[in-house]
Amino acid sequence: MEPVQRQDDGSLRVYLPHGEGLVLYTLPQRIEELLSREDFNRRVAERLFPVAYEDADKEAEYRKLLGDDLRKSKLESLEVFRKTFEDWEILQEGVEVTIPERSVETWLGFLNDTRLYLGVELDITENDWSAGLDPDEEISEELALLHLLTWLQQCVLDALGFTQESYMPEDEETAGEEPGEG
Amino acid sequence: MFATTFPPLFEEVSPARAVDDPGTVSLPDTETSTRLDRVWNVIVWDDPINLMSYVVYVFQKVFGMSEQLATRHMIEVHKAGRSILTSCEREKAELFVSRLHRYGLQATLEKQTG
Repeated sequence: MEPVQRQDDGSLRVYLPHGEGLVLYTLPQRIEELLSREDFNRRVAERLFPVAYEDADKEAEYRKLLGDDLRKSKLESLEVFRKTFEDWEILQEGVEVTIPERSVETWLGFLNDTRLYLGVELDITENDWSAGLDPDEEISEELALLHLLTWLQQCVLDALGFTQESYMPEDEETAGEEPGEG
Repeated sequence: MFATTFPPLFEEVSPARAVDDPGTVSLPDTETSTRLDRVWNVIVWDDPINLMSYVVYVFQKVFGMSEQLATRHMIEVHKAGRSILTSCEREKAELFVSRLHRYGLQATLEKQTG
């Protein structure tokens, strides 16, 4: 069974094993705590709230005009994600959550923001970070979470018809690289 | 190698063509320079975390691009490090950048030159 299935009404049904479901259930709280911390990692802030202008004065104007909207949108997406997990259904073999069609974009946005945060924390700077991972190798909790969220994000995109392989440049396909990132 | 320019998606102002006429002294085309001053490029930068498929999804959502055009821009970002997605007035460009930031893409504005 596909982990993410699109329904006739446009909603997505997500099936996860209990362990992964619990990790995702607690994710909004972890991110909320992170966003409210005073010692918020400056590099994470720069990644989640990137600059629009090189010019400092123009950037200040831009932040004044649209900065709050961006912060609000990040918090809204966190709430949307939290809500889907509050309404989850616990099954014998795992958990099932339903993402209404109107929430799919914001849900994906939250997954992506969390991945970006983890990318900064893990100091990922190269596109091939996910290539050649040995399943027997011990990895950090953050890296394991990043892989889980990457897998889940791609499952959602697959269900929406955005299959990763369709966008892989031919020369990289033949080189056998795993370029998940763009 | 992919082309670095794409068909304009919105009202793009073309730079004035220089006319060489050695017999006359031409004055600066103030109308054109004023219009150029108002044109800003919306640029998306490469990022090691964002999935290719997600980037295509976002380009389609934000700009209403076809899948083919969105894919071309994504590949340009992946290979060249950046891609100009559209050129338009500053206010509009800021809104595009703001929407791209909401999706977690690294986007900036740059005044169009030449």
